[in-house]
Amino acid sequence: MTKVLVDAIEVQQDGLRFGDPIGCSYHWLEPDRVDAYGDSVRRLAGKVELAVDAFERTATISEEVFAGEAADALRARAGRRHEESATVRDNLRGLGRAINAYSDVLRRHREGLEQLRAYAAGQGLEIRDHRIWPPVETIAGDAPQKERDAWERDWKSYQQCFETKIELRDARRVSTRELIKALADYAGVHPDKDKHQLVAADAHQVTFGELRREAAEEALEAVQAGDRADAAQRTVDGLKRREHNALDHLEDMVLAERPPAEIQAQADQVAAIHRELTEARVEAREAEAVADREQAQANRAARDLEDAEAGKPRLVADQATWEPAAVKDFEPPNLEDRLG
Amino acid sequence: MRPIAINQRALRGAKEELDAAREDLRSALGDIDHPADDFPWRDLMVEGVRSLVDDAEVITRKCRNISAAIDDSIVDFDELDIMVGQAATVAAKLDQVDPR
Repeated sequence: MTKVLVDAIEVQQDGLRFGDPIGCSYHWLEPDRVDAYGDSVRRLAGKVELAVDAFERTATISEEVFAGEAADALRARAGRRHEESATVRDNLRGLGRAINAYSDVLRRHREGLEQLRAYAAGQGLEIRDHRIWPPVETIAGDAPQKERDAWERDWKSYQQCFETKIELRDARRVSTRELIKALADYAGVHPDKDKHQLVAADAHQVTFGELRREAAEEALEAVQAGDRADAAQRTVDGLKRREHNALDHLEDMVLAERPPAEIQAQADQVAAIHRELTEARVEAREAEAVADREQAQANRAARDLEDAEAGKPRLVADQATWEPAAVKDFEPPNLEDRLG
Repeated sequence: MRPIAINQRALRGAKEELDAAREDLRSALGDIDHPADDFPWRDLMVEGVRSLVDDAEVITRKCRNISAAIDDSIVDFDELDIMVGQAATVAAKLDQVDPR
């Protein structure tokens, strides 16, 4: 399980108080690069689409091409994979689009900051280290009226800048909701409001559940295939015995010089049993191959699950090393406020 | 058991499509470049994208599994052809048995 701290930038932006210097430069990742990140996620969705189509093609292989129980099992499996991969494709697309949209949010924020800076410069406020500085806090009571007016004007300008900055932050946060929602909907990661931490647990839980379901499904398929192979083999054994007896009987008849018609009838019967046996052997061979395949798949699925479960303590340890530091260094703010 | 009909070329076509999709998808997995520079909600965003990339990786594995299952079927039917041939030979020999 991976845990992510509350977003540090948002916490920092919460700290802005009237009278503080106001940051007026965009110093985050370029919006264009965020946009490109979203594009790359959508391109991946396009590649997943290829797999979606391939699964669909396998799932809809016609009876003329491939028939029988093995074919039905294959179609059903491919059908499930088709649905799963279509979901992954939709999730990638949805999140990619949300990231693209979020890059516009950042772009608007950057423009807003540029305008803020221009306004402050126009009002004659001090801009240093990419920040708008407040005017001096106090002015002497006996200062000339002109200076007092200028001081008051500066504070009003500063107040305007402060309010604009808060508005920019709040507008950005409102737009961020869409991204947060997309992350929860499509990727199963979400800020955990109760614990004041971001918890990205769903994806892993789903993986475990998925692995278990898969292992159980494969195991069931293997058992069923094994049963079918056993039944087919029993049929073959039975027919072998019958053929053997019929041949013995035929031999006795020939030695006893029975009438040709009677011998012919017995020979026909031997031939019929033999044909049946040949067919049964083919079926048994096929059933055995299917059983082997299903068993191999079941083993693989069980191994996947085992590997994943073996990986769990490591993840728990990660979490344990992370938590004390977080509790010690970090006083969680109110999330509702943070989300605007 | 139902009769088996088979068109190996069509089956192989489906298998090749799965293999090609897997290759394409696998190379695209490496093309995702997670941003290192900071911006609000980067960590959560990267976390989300990573989890979806993991899902996409699972799909490559599933492509391979289904492709392998098709492959096994194709081999089975090659063997079946041989067995049917052998059975026909045995049946022909049996017909030549003179019961008298």
